[in-house]
Amino acid sequence: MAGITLKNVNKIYPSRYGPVHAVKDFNLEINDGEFVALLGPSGCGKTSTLRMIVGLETISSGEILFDGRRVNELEPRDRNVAMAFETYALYPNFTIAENLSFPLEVRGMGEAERKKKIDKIAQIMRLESILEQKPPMLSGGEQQRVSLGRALIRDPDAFILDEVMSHLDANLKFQMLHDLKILHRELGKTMVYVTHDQMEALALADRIAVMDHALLQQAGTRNEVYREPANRFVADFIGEPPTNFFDMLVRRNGNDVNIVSEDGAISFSPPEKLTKVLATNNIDAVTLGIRPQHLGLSGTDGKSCSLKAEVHINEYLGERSILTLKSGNETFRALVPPYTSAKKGETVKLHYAPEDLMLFDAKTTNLIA
Amino acid sequence: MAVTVGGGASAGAGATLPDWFTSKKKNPSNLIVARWVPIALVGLPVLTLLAIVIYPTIWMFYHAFQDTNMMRLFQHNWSFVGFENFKTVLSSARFGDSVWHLVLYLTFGTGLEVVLAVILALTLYEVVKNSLLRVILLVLIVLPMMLPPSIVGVLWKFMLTPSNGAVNHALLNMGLISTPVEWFNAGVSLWSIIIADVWNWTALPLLIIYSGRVSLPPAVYEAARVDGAGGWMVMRRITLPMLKEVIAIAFIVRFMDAFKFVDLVYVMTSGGPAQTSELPAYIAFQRGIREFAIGEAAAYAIVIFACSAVIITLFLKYLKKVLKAQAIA
Ligand SMILES: Nc1ncnc2c1ncn2[C@@H]1O[C@H](COP(=O)(O)OP(=O)(O)O)[C@@H](O)[C@H]1O
Ligand SMILES: [Mg+2]
Repeated sequence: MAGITLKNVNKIYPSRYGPVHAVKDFNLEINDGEFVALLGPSGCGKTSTLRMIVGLETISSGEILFDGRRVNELEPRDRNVAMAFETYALYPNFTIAENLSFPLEVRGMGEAERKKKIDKIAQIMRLESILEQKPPMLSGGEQQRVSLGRALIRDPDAFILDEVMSHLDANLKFQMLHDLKILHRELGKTMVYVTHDQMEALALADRIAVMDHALLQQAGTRNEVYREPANRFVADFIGEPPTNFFDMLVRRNGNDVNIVSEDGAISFSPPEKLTKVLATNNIDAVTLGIRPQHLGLSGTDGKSCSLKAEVHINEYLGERSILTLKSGNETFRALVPPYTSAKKGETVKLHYAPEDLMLFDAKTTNLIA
Repeated sequence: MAVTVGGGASAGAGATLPDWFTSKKKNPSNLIVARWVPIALVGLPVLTLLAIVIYPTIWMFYHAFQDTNMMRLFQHNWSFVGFENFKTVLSSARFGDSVWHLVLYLTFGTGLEVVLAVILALTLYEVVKNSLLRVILLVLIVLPMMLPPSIVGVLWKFMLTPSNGAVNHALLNMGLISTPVEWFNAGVSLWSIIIADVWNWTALPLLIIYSGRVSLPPAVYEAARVDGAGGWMVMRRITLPMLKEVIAIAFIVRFMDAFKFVDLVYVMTSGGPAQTSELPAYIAFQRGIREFAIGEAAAYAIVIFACSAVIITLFLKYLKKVLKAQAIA
């Protein structure tokens, strides 16, 4: 069992075109038994962070601690973590069963016990029918499941999983996410799960650490990163369809604060809490964010404020519809119930709750709270 | 569409051939160059091949069934003798002995070369991490292979000279032997050739295996590190199995060379003393080129060719089966 602490961790790769700063001043505390998702767009430094935790990459500066014990200098095998690789990294000359068995064999586990574990993991990963085949003959999704299985079959202090579901079909992914969650509950082991898919992160993790451009943007529970994103990037990256952003100006009128677009076509009333904050600071330009889920056609559920907009596109997506709307120069989306009859060119009233508005400083892009 | 060479090509051929090839408007001297250069480039090598490979091969097969020797060759009066030459070859004790020598050479020469190559290549890869040093060592290792065989033969003949040769000198000084080894006596001379050959040719399988190791996927080794496998375990369970085919190919390359191995034998011992270091190809060479028993030499060559073809076909079949089982081929 291990809690993992990253303290001011940096990774700088030397390269022909000059040093690449892949991870900058990364600080994160992962509790023992916690399921943490490391989320970010591709190239933001997720894999580099994992490789430093596992010990495959040297740490340029900073410290990594397992249960308070510095592990910077330890070889991967002395850190006792299991890793599933983004590139699968299966042993091509072994059958699937041998691939799963190898980490156990290395630890000197007996044949009978190995067999039992392989059968169990093969069942979870749905690999029973291909146990005797060799990796090069399998599809990407199958190889990925073997790779995940080879990590999960071990009994390490922590599991480090790098994009382990990226090549699975939607249906299977859904099942596997569920199974992985159950498995985590059963094992109670620390898991660090890297993904660029916010849906996976939201589905699985106790806590999500969002990265961009080598920097940790925010680490928090699902609710925190969804409701109180630390900055515009996090608000944009988490949630589907993406958050609507409006470049707005703050109009102060005594104690009353209004947020209006430059051309005056749209205005929002901030919640009381933000009104107080805005009344006292001197931020004039803000980026306002509101999720399409939080814009509705009826004023129920505390949606006490509204704005008018013209329907541009009405996309029917089965269990819901997406309206693309225009107001002044701004285009934005709203998620509404299916079979909404709004036609192109029609003007509708969109309701929102002031509490659902997110305001970001236009200069720093940080959340104003 | 066919284009008649040298004649007027139809404009329609432009659909498959480039403009400059078929166009009539271009400068005529250019056109001649454009038409004839490709034909010359393909034709000359084909003619050369016919002259130096195909014609002699047919000639050899023909004379294997004739009683040709030097005199009859010049008088043009050889005659058909059926399988007489093959009977001579296959029933001669000299040929039987040379086959045994070949077996020794393949086991201890070729075999040792491949084993040494595996050890050296993997050691070089695993131990020497500095890439500049690696290149320097590789160049040093490859040097013997770049010397002409005659030079290698002469060099080792000097080195192995019983009195005052460098090898005996060193062995005596180290106290490994008390009297000089007679390197060119019967029973020993074959081993002298094998030693020189190992020195000469180990670098070839080494380069093949080294490049095989370099191209193994590094991610697999990272997985093994995380799985906790130690160096020896990784070598035994992962590296060597993954290199199996490459090692087999390195062996085949040297194996094929063994059937035409003449040069060092000729330079170092001339098959002696008393034919105790002869290999099959050397006898064919000796009988044909030195003694002009053309028919018999041709029969030797065909027997050697047939044996090597059969063995190598079997070997490749086996290799293909292995590769298929691994889902690579
Ligand atoms: N070995 C390396 N040498 C140089 N640059 C690298 C190396 N590995 C990764 N990088 C760079 O570091 C950045 C982060 O990469 P990575 O950690 O793989 O991102 P992610 O896993 O989030 O996609 C990328 O810009 C990548 O090009
Ligand atoms: Mg990655």
